[in-house]
Amino acid sequence: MNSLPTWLLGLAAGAPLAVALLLAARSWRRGVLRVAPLAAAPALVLALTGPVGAKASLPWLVQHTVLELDAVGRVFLGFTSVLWLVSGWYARGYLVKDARLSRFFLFFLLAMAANFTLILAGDIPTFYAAFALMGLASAGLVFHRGDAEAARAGRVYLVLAMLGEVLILTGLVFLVVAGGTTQIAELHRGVVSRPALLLVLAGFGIKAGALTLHFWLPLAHPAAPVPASAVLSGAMIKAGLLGWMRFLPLGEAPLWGCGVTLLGAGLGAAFLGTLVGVVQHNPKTVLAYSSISQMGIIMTGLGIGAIHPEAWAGMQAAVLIYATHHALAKGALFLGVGPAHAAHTRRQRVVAGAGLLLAALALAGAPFTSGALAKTALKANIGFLPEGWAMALGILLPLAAAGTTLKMARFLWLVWPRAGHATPEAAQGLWWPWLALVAATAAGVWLLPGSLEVLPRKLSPEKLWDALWPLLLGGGLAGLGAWLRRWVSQDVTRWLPAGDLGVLLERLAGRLRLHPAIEAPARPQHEAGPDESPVKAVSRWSRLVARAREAIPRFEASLRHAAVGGALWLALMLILLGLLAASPH
Amino acid sequence: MNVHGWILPGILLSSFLTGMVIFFLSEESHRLRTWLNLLGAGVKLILVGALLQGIYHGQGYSLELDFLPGIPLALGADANSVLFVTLSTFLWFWTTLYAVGYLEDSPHRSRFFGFFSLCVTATTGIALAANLVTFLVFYELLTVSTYPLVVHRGTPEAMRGGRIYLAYTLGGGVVLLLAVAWLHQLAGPVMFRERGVIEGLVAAHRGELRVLFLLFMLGIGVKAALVPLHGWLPKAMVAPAPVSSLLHAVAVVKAGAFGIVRIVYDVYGVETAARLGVLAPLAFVAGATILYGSVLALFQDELKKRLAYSTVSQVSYIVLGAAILGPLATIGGLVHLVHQGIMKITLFFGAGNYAETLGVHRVSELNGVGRRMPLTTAAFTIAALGMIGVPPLAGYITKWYLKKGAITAGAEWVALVLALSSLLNAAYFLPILYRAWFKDPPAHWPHEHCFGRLETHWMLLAAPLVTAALVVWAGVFAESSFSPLAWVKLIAAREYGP
Repeated sequence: MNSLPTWLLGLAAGAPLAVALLLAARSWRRGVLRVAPLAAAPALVLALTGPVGAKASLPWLVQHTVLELDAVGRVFLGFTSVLWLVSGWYARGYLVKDARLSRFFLFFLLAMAANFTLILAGDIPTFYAAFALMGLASAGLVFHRGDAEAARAGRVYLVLAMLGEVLILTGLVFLVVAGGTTQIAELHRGVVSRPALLLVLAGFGIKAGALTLHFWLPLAHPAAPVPASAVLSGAMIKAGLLGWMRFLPLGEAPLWGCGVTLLGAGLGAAFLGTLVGVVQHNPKTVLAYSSISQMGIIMTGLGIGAIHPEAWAGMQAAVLIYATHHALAKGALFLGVGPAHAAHTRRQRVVAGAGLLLAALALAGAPFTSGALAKTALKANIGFLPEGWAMALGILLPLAAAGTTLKMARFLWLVWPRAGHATPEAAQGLWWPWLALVAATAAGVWLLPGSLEVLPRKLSPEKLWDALWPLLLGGGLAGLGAWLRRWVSQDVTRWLPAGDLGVLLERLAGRLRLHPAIEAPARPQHEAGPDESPVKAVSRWSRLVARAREAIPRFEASLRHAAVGGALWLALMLILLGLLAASPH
Repeated sequence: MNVHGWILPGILLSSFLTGMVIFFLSEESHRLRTWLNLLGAGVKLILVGALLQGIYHGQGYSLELDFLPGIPLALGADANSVLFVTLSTFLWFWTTLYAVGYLEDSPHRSRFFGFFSLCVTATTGIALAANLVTFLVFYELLTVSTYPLVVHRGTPEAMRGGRIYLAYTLGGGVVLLLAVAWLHQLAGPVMFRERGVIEGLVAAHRGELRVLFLLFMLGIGVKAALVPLHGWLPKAMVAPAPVSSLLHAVAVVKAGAFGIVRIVYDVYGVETAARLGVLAPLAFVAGATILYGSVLALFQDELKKRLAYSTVSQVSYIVLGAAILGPLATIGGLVHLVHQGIMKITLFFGAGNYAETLGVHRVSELNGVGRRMPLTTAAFTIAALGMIGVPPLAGYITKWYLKKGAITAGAEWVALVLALSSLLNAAYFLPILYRAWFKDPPAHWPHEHCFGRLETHWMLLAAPLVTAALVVWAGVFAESSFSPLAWVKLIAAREYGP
């Protein structure tokens, strides 16, 4: 029980939490901040030494917490801890002049602890608790910058995160009741609970950025400081994926509805991410849309596994490879934004450019990169699908890859280090963590179990062409786009703003006046301005809401009179009734 | 009478005598009054500790005095009453400390603390009542002793709030009296007993028992603030902050919720009540109350008013737990009796600190308050997150058990209500937290007091910090053997036992 791995489990989850608590002591803050990034180290050690099957029971904690390292968790813990470690290291340099550095690290460490805990959680309540805490703590990271954009992004993020948490909790309770156990490893033996399935699908879909639930992501990820964006887009987004892998009965029963939903939402997200992402001006927004696309591609893998239980074993390995690849590459791209903006000398520009190019090529799936490996692994398992579907996917997935190339081209165009464009501040302390992550991107995936078996035995020109044509197509499209750009005078983001669907919803909510009265008690009577053409139904509804707002206090007041009078009247009547009933005795 | 015999009357007298003495103290004897208050609260705390110890070792406690012919005034301590009496005694101690700090230099303190003690005496009486008549007596005493606290400030608004309070609670009292009398006429003296006392009457008096249940709920529902009987609660928040804390977390609302728990479990018996078909309507009313209170809280800019509507909503979790058949829901409901108490009292302490230290009363004025008063705001944050149901805090434990109980009992709609309620709670609490921590403070606070090195008076600071720590403890160590949840599981095991 007290063997080393057991201790390490507790330490991996507890170290960031302990450091976060130490931050509360004002006099220790400077020293604590210096070692704060190291809080991720125990988790990395655990993932590398990997005693799969190690288990720690803490029956006195919350609801009988169990921490456990399984094969899936080990992979997740691996890339997650690398990202947190590097981002923490990077954050110390990036935010060195920020007056609120300790507040940033407080939320950063809390989210880190929660992220590790949810990966290691062996029971459902612990998983949920960690998931919920991570959602809240990362809201602090989104809000951090404190300007209007961050406030808006944070609000949208928080609404969606709370919605997701509520859906997930309800779904998990359904699962616990149906399965009769809170242990994740023992789940799924029972019948599939339909409400649980729906709730889990939608709840984790919010975190994973599934189509129609994705729109918070391109707002929140860019609004956070760069190191926070890296962990949001690389590590924390994968919590949604892990949730699905833990709680959908994948590989146990064929789930048509669920699988088709995942496939559809995944492919939709892959293409929508390209369409909207490619016209954005903020490089971090482009990356956020790329995350939506990439998670979409991973979802198609899950979808196939849901439809064909026998495909899941192979698909699970592919999904793990893909997740690792995306986490590291996306982290390297996000963190690269800092060095790219701070490259002063020619040598720095070359290094920054080379690193960014490497990470971008990896994400686009260029031959010999982690991306190529991930895509090959995914494709190897498509064969389980019916003929027509497999063929369609065989075309759609490379097209999605072409879209990724397009977005990467756009991203590189936006951040490419140019002479004379660097920000005045030197980027001390950004280079090494970033370069370490670039190196991890190049090497990390090959460490995964099963990754080498995916590789084709011999390199044939056909295979090379398979990997190359989406890249060339994407590159060609990018060139075409850049050429067409001269004839488009208008800003396309007017029609395709960051946060696409969310912007529509925000407008609708504003129109419906659904924002709770937190700002001012009542907004002045605001009729639709001349530039807006109010939809009739909407304006009627908004009038209704306004009227309801006035009517509620009036209703409350009337209740006060009615209830008092009514209660007395009722009492009298009932006394009479009671006397009547009593009389026969 | 041995030592054990003195514990029950001792618990009541410790606050009653304190109150009586304080009434006759002059306004200036500040020090003596404070010591008396703390002494009374401390003695009571020790006695309750002894009571817990005794019950743990299997000692039974009961006391009967002649009252009405054939119906004694009976006190007793079963698992249910110990839960409530421990909660109210513990919170009373900290509220007293808080009130001493809060009312420093304000007039009529002897009157205030006198009634304050009486109010707690009545609450402990409700908790320890072993039969229906005793319960009724203390229930009415509570109404009477709380009124002077509500109108303490004496402003027109306070008088109006007090009038509304009195009208509602006296109206409810009349209905309750009627119900008690009627039940006695049917069943004879009604002692509280696990799994109910009316099982034998079901066959002959089905209809009457149903009407009686309605009457009980109307009578007690006023204090438990069930919609549409909740109207007094938001008006009564004109009272000073310690009184609000007491009303919302310890005494009045809690007494109502406890009364409903008593009627359902120890008079009717939850299984009998389910057979009578009276639980489903009660669950429906509780669900409606939860949503209605939350929606109204959204629209309140005044902090205490928002908290008041939040109470309307949260207390019905207890009622909801009682209205769903099954040990899990029972656990969820009963444990919320404690959880709601410690969370809500922390929130009111926080609101009181903002008002007393900075003169801030409205949500829209709370910008940056976290930087001026970090400790108070941290406590407030913990309690607010607990209310939303963020794990691993107290409120989350409640929601987990209630949801699980509801789904197990086949009442899936309750899970939906709880989910919606969580979202609404988040919608009215998170904006407060955002303002407090992330917005910049104003150049000048409306009415700022300085208290030296600390952010506010130490007495005002200690209470919320202790209760906030409890909120964390009740969640993080919920499944350990020393937690509210552990005790509540014992009660549930007895109610549903073999």
